[in-house]
Amino acid sequence: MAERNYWTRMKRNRMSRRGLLRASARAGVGAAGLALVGCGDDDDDGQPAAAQVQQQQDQVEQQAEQQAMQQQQQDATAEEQQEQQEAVAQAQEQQSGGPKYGGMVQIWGEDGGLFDPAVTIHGGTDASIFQCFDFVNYMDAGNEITDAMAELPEVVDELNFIYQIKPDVHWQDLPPLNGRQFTAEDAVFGYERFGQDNPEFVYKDRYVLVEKFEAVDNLTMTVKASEPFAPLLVAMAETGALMVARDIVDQYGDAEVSSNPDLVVGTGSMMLDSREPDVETVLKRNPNYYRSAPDGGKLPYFDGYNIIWGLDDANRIAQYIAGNLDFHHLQWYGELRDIETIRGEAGEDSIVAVPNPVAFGLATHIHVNREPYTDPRVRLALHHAVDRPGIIATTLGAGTIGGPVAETIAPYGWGIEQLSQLPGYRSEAEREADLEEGRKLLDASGYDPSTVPPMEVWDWASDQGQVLQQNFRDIGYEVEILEQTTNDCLAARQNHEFSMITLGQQAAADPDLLYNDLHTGAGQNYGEFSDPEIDAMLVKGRTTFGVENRKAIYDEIQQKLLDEHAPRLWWHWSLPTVGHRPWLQGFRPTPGITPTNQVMNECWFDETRTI
Amino acid sequence: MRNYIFRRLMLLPITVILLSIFVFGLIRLVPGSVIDARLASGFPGTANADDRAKLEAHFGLDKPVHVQYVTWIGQVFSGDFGTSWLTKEDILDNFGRRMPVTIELLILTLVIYIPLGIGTGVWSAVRQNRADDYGIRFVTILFLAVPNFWLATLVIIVPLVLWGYAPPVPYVQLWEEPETNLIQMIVPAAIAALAGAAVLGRVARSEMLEVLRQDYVRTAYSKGLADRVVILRHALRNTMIPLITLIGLVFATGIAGAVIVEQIFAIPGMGRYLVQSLLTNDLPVVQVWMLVFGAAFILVNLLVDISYGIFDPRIRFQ
Repeated sequence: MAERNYWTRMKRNRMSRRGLLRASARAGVGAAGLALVGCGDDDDDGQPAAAQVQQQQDQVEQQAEQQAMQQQQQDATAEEQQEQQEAVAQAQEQQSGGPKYGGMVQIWGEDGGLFDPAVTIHGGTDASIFQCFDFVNYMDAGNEITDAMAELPEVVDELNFIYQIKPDVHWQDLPPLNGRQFTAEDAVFGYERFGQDNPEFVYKDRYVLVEKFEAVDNLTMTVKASEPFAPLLVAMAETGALMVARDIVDQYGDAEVSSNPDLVVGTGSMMLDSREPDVETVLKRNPNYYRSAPDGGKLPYFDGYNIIWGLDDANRIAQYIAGNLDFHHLQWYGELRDIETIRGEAGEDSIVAVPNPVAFGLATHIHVNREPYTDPRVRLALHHAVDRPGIIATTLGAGTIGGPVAETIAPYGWGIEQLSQLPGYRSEAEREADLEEGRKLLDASGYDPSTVPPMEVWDWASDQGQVLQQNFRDIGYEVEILEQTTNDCLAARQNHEFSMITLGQQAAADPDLLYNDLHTGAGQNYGEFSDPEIDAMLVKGRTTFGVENRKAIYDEIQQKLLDEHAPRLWWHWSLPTVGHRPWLQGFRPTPGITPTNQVMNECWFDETRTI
Repeated sequence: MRNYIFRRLMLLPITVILLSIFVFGLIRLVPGSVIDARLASGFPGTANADDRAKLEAHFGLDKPVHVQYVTWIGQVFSGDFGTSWLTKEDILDNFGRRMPVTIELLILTLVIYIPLGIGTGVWSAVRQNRADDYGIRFVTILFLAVPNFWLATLVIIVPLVLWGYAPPVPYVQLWEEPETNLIQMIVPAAIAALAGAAVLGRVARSEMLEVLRQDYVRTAYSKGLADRVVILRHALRNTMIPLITLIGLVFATGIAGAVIVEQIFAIPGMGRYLVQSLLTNDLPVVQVWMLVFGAAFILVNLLVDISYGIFDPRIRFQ
């Protein structure tokens, strides 16, 4: 029987290993672009950042192609299938006759009722704003920094960057902006606003290392960092970095901006047409949108969006199968059950599944200041005991074993082939050796079994918690499970009131997320881990430029974390999957959290659409 | 009678205040908070103790609980229900928008619930131990056993599998498109009514059987009255006291049913509002919601108590 895991499923979902390598390459290009754009080079020759990105992109893509060729020899059958699929896709595109205008996107979302990108706490809060506002730069497919209202930045040195605003960007033709030009002053205001001392502004730490945003002329914004900070350009393009107008904030105030949909006036491709809370939001095309199609025509192709709010799981699937939706919501944690259901009921061709570049996963946080986890030998013993492939196979059915940095953060994240060689990640006979090592570590620690506190488990991860409990039992470590709701788990984690807690985790676009997770006193260092050596390496990682240099640092950090500290049990990462109708053309998954906040300006419907 | 109603109405504010203290205290026992939800948003580097303190001050959570309570209840009694912590929407506006939706659902539920419950109960009693009695008893027990969330999911899935049909979305108001609105509402109302109707049917059957064995019913039959007259005019009226109590309770069960069916069928009513607010620890909304429906439930029970005297003149209110 063929092995059934996340990657084989992905292959069935039109993503071969070659495709995966390409995607990884693009992710690598994104990260490489970041580093290159971020650092310039030592001789400061003034080469435009975009050109450097392109150069690095070519190199990485060449490497990816070589790997793909090797893979092709090993896996000819899969490759043939892939080629057949590509041929079908090409034929479909030719048949569709190129991009077409028109059509209202039928899509489902969650209406949180917040309209301010600085306040919006997650992608589902009110997704309509993601189409109405726009980015200076944004993260495109593969976490690639991409030009939007501004060109890719020119790198002056490690601390200084120049963004050139495109001259044809205008605010929507609605009061009080009335279609005026988007300027560098607007960009400065937009970014500085995120950092204001408003407790509701959740992204303010993104730009703490920016000393100054400045508009040097009408269309030029300079960014000066207070110290070298490699992920800065990623932060500038992160999901949610949408620009709000000073005119509106000054006139109405922050509170009104976040609660009043009439003030949703941005530079995005869509304008808010109507909104009935918790029922439906209608967006219509912004006729003054600045981006043009390759043929010179105006974007976007869609007439607008009908966003239906709050469908229950069963109702959502039913609406998709019945032909009332263009998108299925994304599937979390790599589970493709809904997509399989849709295929089962409506046919294999009824839905196209596309992995989203934002990785989510499950991990077990350990509070290192609580007994018995103050002893790293106990933590390492548990790290050795976790049967990662087993948990995924028996309880998730999809996803990949996870290391400290998600594999999607290429090239920093370690993939399944690398991880599966390491203690704690191995299977079969080698796992027996890991279990034996775990028992030895546990014995050596001399912990008191009667004082082991319960492990809190997110109720969505109940099955995984039970497997973990059995894994720990395999080395003689008995721990009770305490199932908790999402809110309880978040509260316990946020307040550091846990000993061990199994919960979801989200990756980012840069390995610097480890700083926030594990640096002494960092915002998301819930388990209060502290190690001067790791701290120093994490600082070095965020202040070092160049992909190879940074990769070496993060490789060392990951190795030390897994070999010496185990401050967290990383065991799973997966890519959420977006499902859409085959008649949607030109879709590239951007790191938006839901389909409603994907960047879809260049998508269109072919004539096979029946909605 | 008037004195009784007056006394009950006088007790109402005291009951509501006690209820408000209970609700306010109970909600604060729930772990987690909107602050945790905001700070633990999943994005790196957004939380520290200072942020938490500022947000707590922002929402007034830094004050002692009794101060929070007095502030809140004072606002409620002055007609200011406050705003949602999460969406900042005015709670009263939301009630005004959502209440008619839930009231429509409740009315439709009652329209199905009462005739179905009493009708099947009476029919089953009159046809005791015959095939149709067994059939009705089987069906009522079945609907008692089946949870309505499962039934609601089933009525979405089965038509989809058989005919590729899904209920129309998004929700439309009754006064905008009455036909579409009724199509959207009738199935959820039926689901919310079925379990209650099954209980009502069981009680109606047992009550009716008891009444049918009474001497005055035998006398009515011996006078040559038609079955319909005996059952509807003489027997049914005397079964109504327990049934009225049950019908009064449907307000509570109907709200509970609305919480489920509104969520599954994407109906933007009060039940759905409660679920959304509970999931996000939006305390002001949950507090007001529970207070309003608690007070409404007390009023409905008062009406039920008063109605006893109408159905049974022997009952005197002292």
